[in-house]
Amino acid sequence: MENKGYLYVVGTGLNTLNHITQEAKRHIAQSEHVFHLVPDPLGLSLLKSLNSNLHYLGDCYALTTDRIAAYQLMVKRVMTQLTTAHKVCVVFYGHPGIFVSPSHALIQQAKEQGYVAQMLPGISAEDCLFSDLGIDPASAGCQSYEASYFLLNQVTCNVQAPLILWQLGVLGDFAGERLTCDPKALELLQQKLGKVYPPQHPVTLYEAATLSLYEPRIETLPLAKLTEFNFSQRSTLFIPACSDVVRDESIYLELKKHQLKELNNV
Amino acid sequence: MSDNLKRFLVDVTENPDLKDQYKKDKTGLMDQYNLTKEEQTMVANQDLDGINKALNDEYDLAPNSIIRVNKKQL
Ligand SMILES: C[S@@+](CC[C@H](N)C(=O)[O-])C[C@H]1O[C@@H](n2cnc3c(N)ncnc32)[C@H](O)[C@@H]1O
Repeated sequence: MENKGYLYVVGTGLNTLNHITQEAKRHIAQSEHVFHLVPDPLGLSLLKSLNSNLHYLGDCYALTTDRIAAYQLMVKRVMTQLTTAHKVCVVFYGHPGIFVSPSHALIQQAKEQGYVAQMLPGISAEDCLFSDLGIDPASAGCQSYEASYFLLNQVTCNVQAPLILWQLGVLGDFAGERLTCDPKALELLQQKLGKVYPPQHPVTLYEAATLSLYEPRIETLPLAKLTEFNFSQRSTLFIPACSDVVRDESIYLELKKHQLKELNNV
Repeated sequence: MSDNLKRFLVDVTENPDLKDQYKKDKTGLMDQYNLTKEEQTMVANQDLDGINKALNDEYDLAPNSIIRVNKKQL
Protein backbone atom coordinates (compact mmCIF):
# COMPACT_ATOMS: atom_id res chain seq x y z
CA MET A 1 0.00 0.00 0.00
CA GLU A 2 1.33 3.43 -0.87
CA ASN A 3 1.96 5.89 1.95
CA LYS A 4 -0.66 8.60 2.41
CA GLY A 5 1.99 11.28 2.73
CA TYR A 6 4.94 12.48 4.75
CA LEU A 7 5.27 14.94 7.60
CA TYR A 8 8.69 16.14 8.75
CA VAL A 9 9.11 18.35 11.80
CA VAL A 10 12.53 19.98 11.80
CA GLY A 11 14.49 22.55 13.82
CA THR A 12 16.74 25.41 12.79
CA GLY A 13 18.90 25.68 15.92
CA LEU A 14 19.08 29.09 17.56
CA ASN A 15 21.36 30.78 15.06
CA THR A 16 19.87 29.32 11.92
CA LEU A 17 22.60 30.03 9.39
CA ASN A 18 25.13 28.29 11.62
CA HIS A 19 23.00 25.63 13.27
CA ILE A 20 20.54 24.23 10.76
CA THR A 21 21.33 20.64 9.78
CA GLN A 22 21.84 19.40 6.22
CA GLU A 23 18.97 16.98 6.80
CA ALA A 24 16.58 19.76 7.82
CA LYS A 25 17.58 21.85 4.79
CA ARG A 26 16.91 18.94 2.45
CA HIS A 27 13.44 18.36 3.87
CA ILE A 28 12.60 22.05 3.67
CA ALA A 29 13.77 22.20 0.06
CA GLN A 30 11.98 19.02 -0.99
CA SER A 31 8.58 19.57 0.62
CA GLU A 32 5.52 20.83 -1.21
CA HIS A 33 4.52 23.00 1.73
CA VAL A 34 6.65 24.43 4.54
CA PHE A 35 5.02 25.78 7.71
CA HIS A 36 7.29 27.75 9.98
CA LEU A 37 7.61 29.58 13.23
CA VAL A 38 11.18 30.78 13.21
CA PRO A 39 11.95 33.98 15.11
CA ASP A 40 15.33 34.82 13.62
CA PRO A 41 15.26 36.99 10.51
CA LEU A 42 18.25 35.42 8.84
CA GLY A 43 16.61 32.07 9.40
CA LEU A 44 13.55 33.26 7.58
CA SER A 45 15.67 34.46 4.64
CA LEU A 46 17.26 31.03 4.44
CA LEU A 47 13.85 29.34 4.42
CA LYS A 48 12.74 31.64 1.62
CA SER A 49 15.79 30.72 -0.43
CA LEU A 50 15.07 27.00 0.04
CA ASN A 51 11.35 26.91 -0.66
CA SER A 52 8.92 29.46 -2.02
CA ASN A 53 5.84 27.74 -0.63
CA LEU A 54 6.15 29.01 2.94
CA HIS A 55 3.30 29.41 5.39
CA TYR A 56 3.88 31.44 8.53
CA LEU A 57 2.26 30.03 11.67
CA GLY A 58 2.82 33.13 13.80
CA ASP A 59 -0.51 34.66 12.79
CA CYS A 60 -2.26 31.89 14.74
CA TYR A 61 -1.48 33.93 17.87
CA ALA A 62 -3.43 36.90 16.57
CA LEU A 63 -6.34 34.72 15.48
CA THR A 64 -6.84 33.13 18.88
CA THR A 65 -7.35 34.28 22.45
CA ASP A 66 -4.57 32.30 24.13
CA ARG A 67 -1.53 30.27 23.21
CA ILE A 68 -3.18 26.90 23.73
CA ALA A 69 -5.81 27.77 21.14
CA ALA A 70 -3.05 29.12 18.88
CA TYR A 71 -1.20 25.80 19.02
CA GLN A 72 -4.38 23.88 18.29
CA LEU A 73 -4.92 26.07 15.25
CA MET A 74 -1.35 25.44 14.07
CA VAL A 75 -1.86 21.69 14.32
CA LYS A 76 -5.17 21.94 12.49
CA ARG A 77 -3.66 23.95 9.65
CA VAL A 78 -0.81 21.55 9.07
CA MET A 79 -3.04 18.48 9.32
CA THR A 80 -5.47 19.98 6.81
CA GLN A 81 -2.66 20.62 4.34
CA LEU A 82 -1.38 17.10 4.81
CA THR A 83 -4.62 15.67 3.43
CA THR A 84 -3.86 17.19 0.02
CA ALA A 85 -0.05 17.24 -0.12
CA HIS A 86 2.46 14.45 -0.46
CA LYS A 87 5.15 15.99 1.69
CA VAL A 88 4.83 18.70 4.31
CA CYS A 89 7.58 20.13 6.49
CA VAL A 90 7.12 22.12 9.69
CA VAL A 91 9.98 24.22 11.00
CA PHE A 92 10.48 25.43 14.58
CA TYR A 93 13.52 27.05 16.08
CA GLY A 94 16.02 25.20 18.25
CA HIS A 95 15.22 21.53 18.55
CA PRO A 96 11.66 21.15 17.28
CA GLY A 97 10.68 18.76 20.06
CA ILE A 98 12.13 20.63 23.03
CA PHE A 99 9.59 22.84 24.80
CA VAL A 100 7.39 22.96 21.73
CA SER A 101 3.89 21.58 22.23
CA PRO A 102 2.43 21.49 18.70
CA SER A 103 5.35 19.56 17.23
CA HIS A 104 4.67 16.48 19.35
CA ALA A 105 0.92 16.80 18.81
CA LEU A 106 1.51 16.92 15.05
CA ILE A 107 3.68 13.81 14.96
CA GLN A 108 1.18 11.91 17.07
CA GLN A 109 -1.86 12.92 15.03
CA ALA A 110 -0.14 12.32 11.71
CA LYS A 111 0.91 8.82 12.74
CA GLU A 112 -2.56 8.04 14.07
CA GLN A 113 -4.00 9.07 10.70
CA GLY A 114 -1.63 6.83 8.76
CA TYR A 115 0.98 9.31 7.55
CA VAL A 116 4.71 8.80 7.81
CA ALA A 117 5.79 11.33 10.42
CA GLN A 118 9.27 12.04 11.68
CA MET A 119 10.83 14.61 13.97
CA LEU A 120 14.45 15.51 13.28
CA PRO A 121 16.80 16.79 15.98
CA GLY A 122 18.12 20.34 16.06
CA ILE A 123 20.49 22.34 18.25
CA SER A 124 18.58 23.48 21.34
CA ALA A 125 19.13 26.31 23.81
CA GLU A 126 20.39 23.71 26.26
CA ASP A 127 23.01 22.51 23.76
CA CYS A 128 24.23 26.10 23.40
CA LEU A 129 24.25 26.50 27.18
CA PHE A 130 26.46 23.43 27.59
CA SER A 131 28.93 24.94 25.13
CA ASP A 132 28.88 28.54 26.34
CA LEU A 133 28.93 27.78 30.07
CA GLY A 134 31.30 24.82 29.71
CA ILE A 135 28.98 22.30 31.34
CA ASP A 136 29.25 18.57 30.77
CA PRO A 137 26.26 16.66 32.14
CA ALA A 138 28.53 13.64 32.51
CA SER A 139 30.21 15.31 35.51
CA ALA A 140 27.26 15.48 37.88
CA GLY A 141 24.12 14.80 35.83
CA CYS A 142 21.66 17.53 34.96
CA GLN A 143 18.04 18.47 35.66
CA SER A 144 15.99 20.48 33.23
CA TYR A 145 12.54 21.90 34.01
CA GLU A 146 10.08 24.37 32.63
CA ALA A 147 10.31 27.13 35.28
CA SER A 148 6.56 27.48 35.98
CA TYR A 149 6.19 23.70 36.17
CA PHE A 150 9.08 23.62 38.65
CA LEU A 151 7.51 26.40 40.71
CA LEU A 152 3.95 25.13 40.73
CA ASN A 153 4.68 21.47 41.48
CA GLN A 154 6.33 19.66 44.34
CA VAL A 155 9.45 18.81 42.41
CA THR A 156 12.27 17.12 44.27
CA CYS A 157 15.25 19.25 43.42
CA ASN A 158 18.58 17.41 43.41
CA VAL A 159 21.20 19.91 44.61
CA GLN A 160 23.98 17.50 43.67
CA ALA A 161 23.29 18.12 39.98
CA PRO A 162 23.01 21.37 38.01
CA LEU A 163 19.49 22.70 37.48
CA ILE A 164 18.32 24.31 34.24
CA LEU A 165 15.06 26.28 34.27
CA TRP A 166 13.42 27.28 30.97
CA GLN A 167 10.90 29.94 30.07
CA LEU A 168 11.65 32.47 32.79
CA GLY A 169 10.16 35.04 30.42
CA VAL A 170 6.67 33.65 31.11
CA LEU A 171 7.19 32.52 34.69
CA GLY A 172 3.91 32.11 36.55
CA ASP A 173 1.91 31.29 33.43
CA PHE A 174 -1.10 29.07 34.16
CA ALA A 175 -3.34 29.59 31.19
CA GLY A 176 -1.03 30.21 28.25
CA GLU A 177 -1.81 33.91 28.34
CA ARG A 178 1.20 35.62 29.97
CA LEU A 179 3.99 37.03 27.86
CA THR A 180 6.05 38.41 30.73
CA CYS A 181 7.62 37.13 33.93
CA ASP A 182 5.26 37.60 36.89
CA PRO A 183 7.36 39.37 39.61
CA LYS A 184 5.42 37.61 42.36
CA ALA A 185 6.17 34.24 40.77
CA LEU A 186 9.85 35.18 40.61
CA GLU A 187 9.82 36.05 44.30
CA LEU A 188 8.21 32.68 45.07
CA LEU A 189 10.77 30.90 42.89
CA GLN A 190 13.55 32.58 44.82
CA GLN A 191 11.99 31.42 48.10
CA LYS A 192 11.54 27.89 46.79
CA LEU A 193 15.15 27.68 45.61
CA GLY A 194 16.26 29.29 48.90
CA LYS A 195 14.98 26.24 50.77
CA VAL A 196 17.64 24.05 49.15
CA TYR A 197 20.41 26.43 48.00
CA PRO A 198 22.29 28.95 50.16
CA PRO A 199 21.55 32.66 49.47
CA GLN A 200 25.05 33.22 48.07
CA HIS A 201 24.77 30.34 45.59
CA PRO A 202 25.39 31.65 42.06
CA VAL A 203 22.56 31.63 39.52
CA THR A 204 23.20 32.46 35.88
CA LEU A 205 20.86 34.04 33.37
CA TYR A 206 21.78 32.65 29.98
CA GLU A 207 20.83 33.71 26.47
CA ALA A 208 22.56 32.13 23.49
CA ALA A 209 23.50 34.49 20.68
CA THR A 210 20.99 34.23 17.85
CA LEU A 211 23.12 36.35 15.54
CA SER A 212 26.82 35.57 15.09
CA LEU A 213 27.72 39.21 15.57
CA TYR A 214 26.88 39.03 19.25
CA GLU A 215 28.16 37.21 22.30
CA PRO A 216 25.82 35.19 24.49
CA ARG A 217 24.23 37.06 27.41
CA ILE A 218 25.64 35.52 30.59
CA GLU A 219 24.89 37.25 33.89
CA THR A 220 25.53 35.73 37.30
CA LEU A 221 24.09 36.87 40.62
CA PRO A 222 23.76 35.27 44.05
CA LEU A 223 20.42 33.51 44.51
CA ALA A 224 19.44 36.20 47.03
CA LYS A 225 19.33 38.66 44.11
CA LEU A 226 17.41 36.47 41.65
CA THR A 227 14.59 39.00 41.42
CA GLU A 228 17.01 41.61 40.07
CA PHE A 229 17.44 39.81 36.76
CA ASN A 230 15.72 41.33 33.78
CA PHE A 231 14.44 38.20 32.04
CA SER A 232 13.49 38.22 28.37
CA GLN A 233 11.62 35.67 26.27
CA ARG A 234 15.00 34.14 25.49
CA SER A 235 16.21 33.67 29.06
CA THR A 236 17.16 30.35 30.57
CA LEU A 237 18.40 30.03 34.15
CA PHE A 238 21.35 27.87 35.13
CA ILE A 239 22.02 26.87 38.74
CA PRO A 240 25.14 24.82 39.43
CA ALA A 241 25.19 21.95 41.91
CA CYS A 242 25.82 22.99 45.48
CA SER A 243 26.99 19.80 47.08
CA ASP A 244 29.18 16.91 46.00
CA VAL A 245 27.85 13.41 45.60
CA VAL A 246 28.90 10.82 48.12
CA ARG A 247 29.96 7.45 46.81
CA ASP A 248 27.61 4.56 47.53
CA GLU A 249 30.19 2.45 49.39
CA SER A 250 28.15 -0.74 49.59
CA ILE A 251 27.60 -0.91 45.83
CA TYR A 252 31.16 0.18 45.14
CA LEU A 253 32.61 -2.57 47.36
CA GLU A 254 30.26 -5.24 46.01
CA LEU A 255 31.13 -4.42 42.41
CA LYS A 256 34.83 -4.21 43.17
CA LYS A 257 34.73 -7.62 44.88
CA HIS A 258 32.86 -9.09 41.90
CA GLN A 259 35.31 -7.71 39.37
CA LEU A 260 38.33 -8.92 41.38
CA LYS A 261 36.80 -12.38 41.52
CA GLU A 262 36.26 -12.32 37.75
CA LEU A 263 39.87 -11.29 37.25
CA ASN A 264 41.12 -14.13 39.46
CA ASN A 265 39.04 -16.65 37.52
CA VAL A 266 40.62 -15.74 34.17
CA MET B 1 13.51 45.01 3.99
CA SER B 2 17.06 46.25 4.46
CA ASP B 3 19.37 44.43 2.03
CA ASN B 4 22.51 46.10 3.38
CA LEU B 5 21.72 45.07 6.93
CA LYS B 6 21.02 41.53 5.83
CA ARG B 7 24.25 41.33 3.80
CA PHE B 8 26.20 42.68 6.77
CA LEU B 9 24.75 40.12 9.20
CA VAL B 10 25.16 37.21 6.79
CA ASP B 11 28.77 38.16 5.98
CA VAL B 12 29.65 38.40 9.67
CA THR B 13 28.14 34.93 10.14
CA GLU B 14 30.10 33.45 7.29
CA ASN B 15 33.38 35.23 7.97
CA PRO B 16 34.50 35.30 11.63
CA ASP B 17 37.31 37.77 10.77
CA LEU B 18 34.63 40.36 10.12
CA LYS B 19 33.36 39.89 13.65
CA ASP B 20 36.83 40.76 14.97
CA GLN B 21 36.88 43.76 12.66
CA TYR B 22 33.48 44.83 14.03
CA LYS B 23 34.76 44.59 17.61
CA LYS B 24 37.71 46.84 16.75
CA ASP B 25 35.84 49.41 14.70
CA LYS B 26 32.06 49.08 14.76
CA THR B 27 31.19 52.23 12.85
CA GLY B 28 33.95 51.71 10.27
CA LEU B 29 32.65 48.26 9.31
CA MET B 30 29.00 49.29 9.32
CA ASP B 31 29.85 52.31 7.15
CA GLN B 32 31.48 49.94 4.66
CA TYR B 33 28.11 48.18 4.38
CA ASN B 34 26.28 51.48 4.00
CA LEU B 35 24.11 50.91 7.04
CA THR B 36 21.95 53.88 7.91
CA LYS B 37 22.47 55.67 11.23
CA GLU B 38 19.26 54.07 12.49
CA GLU B 39 20.46 50.60 11.53
CA GLN B 40 23.85 51.23 13.12
CA THR B 41 22.22 52.24 16.39
CA MET B 42 20.03 49.13 16.31
CA VAL B 43 23.01 46.85 15.67
CA ALA B 44 25.18 48.54 18.32
CA ASN B 45 22.36 48.31 20.88
CA GLN B 46 21.76 44.66 20.05
CA ASP B 47 18.14 45.54 19.39
CA LEU B 48 17.05 42.11 18.14
CA ASP B 49 13.39 43.04 17.80
CA GLY B 50 14.36 46.13 15.78
CA ILE B 51 16.63 44.05 13.54
CA ASN B 52 13.85 41.50 13.08
CA LYS B 53 11.50 44.24 11.98
CA ALA B 54 14.04 45.83 9.64
CA LEU B 55 14.70 42.52 7.91
CA ASN B 56 11.11 41.39 7.64
CA ASP B 57 8.46 43.68 6.40
CA GLU B 58 6.07 40.86 5.50
CA TYR B 59 4.98 39.94 9.01
CA ASP B 60 5.87 40.51 12.65
CA LEU B 61 7.97 37.63 13.77
CA ALA B 62 6.80 36.32 17.12
CA PRO B 63 9.69 37.31 19.43
CA ASN B 64 10.25 33.91 20.92
CA SER B 65 7.57 32.17 18.93
CA ILE B 66 6.39 29.12 20.59
CA ILE B 67 6.11 28.50 24.29
CA ARG B 68 5.72 25.08 25.80
CA VAL B 69 2.35 24.43 27.36
CA ASN B 70 1.15 21.52 29.38
CA LYS B 71 0.64 18.56 27.05
CA LYS B 72 -2.78 17.86 28.49
CA GLN B 73 -3.98 21.26 27.33
CA LEU B 74 -3.33 20.57 23.67
C1 LIG C 1 9.41 27.52 23.79
S1 LIG C 1 11.02 27.18 24.32
C2 LIG C 1 11.76 26.75 22.79
C3 LIG C 1 13.05 26.01 22.94
C4 LIG C 1 13.64 25.59 21.62
N1 LIG C 1 12.78 24.69 20.92
C5 LIG C 1 15.01 24.94 21.82
O1 LIG C 1 15.20 23.84 21.33
O2 LIG C 1 15.88 25.55 22.44
C6 LIG C 1 11.53 28.80 24.70
C7 LIG C 1 12.56 28.78 25.80
O3 LIG C 1 13.79 28.32 25.27
C8 LIG C 1 14.85 29.01 25.87
N2 LIG C 1 15.51 29.83 24.86
C9 LIG C 1 15.00 30.28 23.69
N3 LIG C 1 15.91 31.04 23.05
C10 LIG C 1 17.01 31.04 23.84
C11 LIG C 1 18.29 31.63 23.74
N4 LIG C 1 18.62 32.39 22.70
N5 LIG C 1 19.16 31.41 24.74
C12 LIG C 1 18.85 30.66 25.81
N6 LIG C 1 17.67 30.08 25.97
C13 LIG C 1 16.76 30.25 25.00
C14 LIG C 1 14.24 29.92 26.95
O4 LIG C 1 14.21 29.21 28.18
C15 LIG C 1 12.87 30.14 26.38
O5 LIG C 1 11.95 30.52 27.37
